[in-house]
Amino acid sequence: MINYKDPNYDRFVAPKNERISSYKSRKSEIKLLKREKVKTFKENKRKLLNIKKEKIEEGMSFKEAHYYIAPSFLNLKNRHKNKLKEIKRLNKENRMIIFPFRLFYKPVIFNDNYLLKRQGMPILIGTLLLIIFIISFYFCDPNNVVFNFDEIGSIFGQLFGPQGATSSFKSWGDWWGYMGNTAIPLIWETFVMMFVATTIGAIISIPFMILCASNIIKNHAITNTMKVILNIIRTFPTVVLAIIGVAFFGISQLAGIFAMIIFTAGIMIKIMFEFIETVNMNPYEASISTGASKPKAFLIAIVPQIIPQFLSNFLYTFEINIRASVVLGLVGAGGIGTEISNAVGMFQYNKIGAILIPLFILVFILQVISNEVKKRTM
Amino acid sequence: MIQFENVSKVYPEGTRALSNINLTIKDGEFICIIGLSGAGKSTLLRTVNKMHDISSGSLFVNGTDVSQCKGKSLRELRRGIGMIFQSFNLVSRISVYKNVLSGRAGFHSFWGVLFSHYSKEEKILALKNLELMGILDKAYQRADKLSGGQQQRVALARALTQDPKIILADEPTASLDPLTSKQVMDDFLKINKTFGITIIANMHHVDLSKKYATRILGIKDGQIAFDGRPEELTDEALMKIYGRSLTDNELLEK
Repeated sequence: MINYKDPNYDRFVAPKNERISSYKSRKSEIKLLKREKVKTFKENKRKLLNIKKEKIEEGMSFKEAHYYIAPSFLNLKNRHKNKLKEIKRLNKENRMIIFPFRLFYKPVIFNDNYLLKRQGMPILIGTLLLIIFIISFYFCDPNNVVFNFDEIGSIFGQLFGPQGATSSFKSWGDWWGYMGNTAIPLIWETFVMMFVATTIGAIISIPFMILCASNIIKNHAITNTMKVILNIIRTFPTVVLAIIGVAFFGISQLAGIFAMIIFTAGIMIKIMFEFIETVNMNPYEASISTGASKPKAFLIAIVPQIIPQFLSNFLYTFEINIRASVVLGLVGAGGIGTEISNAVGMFQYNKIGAILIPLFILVFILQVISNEVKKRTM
Repeated sequence: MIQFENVSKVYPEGTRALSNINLTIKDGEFICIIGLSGAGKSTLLRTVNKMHDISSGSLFVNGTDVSQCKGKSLRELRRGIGMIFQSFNLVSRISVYKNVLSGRAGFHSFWGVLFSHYSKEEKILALKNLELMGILDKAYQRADKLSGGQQQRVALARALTQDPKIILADEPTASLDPLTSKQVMDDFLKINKTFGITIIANMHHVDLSKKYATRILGIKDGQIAFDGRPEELTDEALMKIYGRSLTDNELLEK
């Protein structure tokens, strides 16, 4: 047999057929070794089970007998697992004789020790991402990609003010009047709708975020089921939710509110349960030790930790909802969206400009409030 | 009174943490448990209020069979036993006063806790205990603004507010500096002397244990290797507990 200790020879120097025969002999050796290990494991396991049986016959209860052999059994199992791991490693090393170059490993030889240095993973991932990007770009239908700066310029030119061929405004006064009489009331309507929807959604999300958190609910059947349901709900696009809402409640604001409640709950549950899973559980344990029940301990030890996060996520979701509510108007579920889609359809970009300015101010104010809340509660 | 009779504990993953512990602890004792890490000190302590359940044997705390306690009776058992932790385990965001008051949670309903509907007597008790611990002036500060020693005193005040018969301390001085450790141990002694509360503490410092305890337990591999008064803790006994004698630099003071 070829000296296996010399990795240089086996892997790089020896001719191919020599390497293959070395690989085969080594492989059969490892196979025998594995068979032996499995056999001894099974024998030992049988011995332990016999001891358990004897103990039960001697009058020990089943539970006591189980605990009696449990430590040695688990020890045995762990040792066996480690041996199997070792055999796996041997096999892997053996394969290196035939395929000396591995994608993610670079062989390093130090004092006759053969080490495998992991490398190349970031390069591979980077390359893959680049390839995906190029492919996606190709499928974007490049025939339609026209960089028409003139068009963009003309749209921007029409956004603010009464000018434009399709404009329905005669003067700046008309434009400002439109902003004051139509745009702002509609935005206010959207604001009120979204506030109601976000609040209800956030309140609904509270019990579900707890049910999803695996550090609070120890029954993983519950948490996993809840997580699956949550993911199903979250896959619905807002438009689809709005259409379902319209089907339920007719063309009304209620439909939009319904859609946004579900949307909000999805986001809040997702962000908050992930946060709850990272909170410090020590105070919870301490509270349990004072004789508090689990709900009380949650109230005392976990709630103070999650309130700031809850508030800031509430405001964040609210902001997302206001922007997402534009979509609701497209299916007639209330809010600013209908006006925007009508304006776009008639190429009246200056109407959109009149809507954008107050919308921008609103989002800016929300941002400021959100930052303040974060600063004060953290 | 706490009675261990042939108590054993095997963890689900197979570690045998305690084997055949027989032990009687009288009311008003100040007990320090010493031993190597992983010897079973923590497990022994936590079986008393059933933070860990025992596998076999029986354990009585003031006449109550701990292994039979479930749900409400378990919460009532825990209500009478205070617990102190190495990392203080305070709720860092809320005030010291609220932390201390949360020791009363076991006496109220869920809604009572939600709207913090604590009685006047309870509020006075909480402030009184803070005064006893010498940190009354910190009552309305956030708990995480306090130093380690102060936080451990808040934890002590919280345990005292439960009005317990027993206080369990899981390495109360392990994350404190030597001087603060002594002060905290003084507080334990004060509680032990004035209220007659039984104190059981896991300790890493042998000399601190010797100084404060009325009785010392040495645990080795889940069994009691030493049980006696501090004076009886000789080098041989330490040898038995730790497997070797302590060198000078392992003591807090020479």
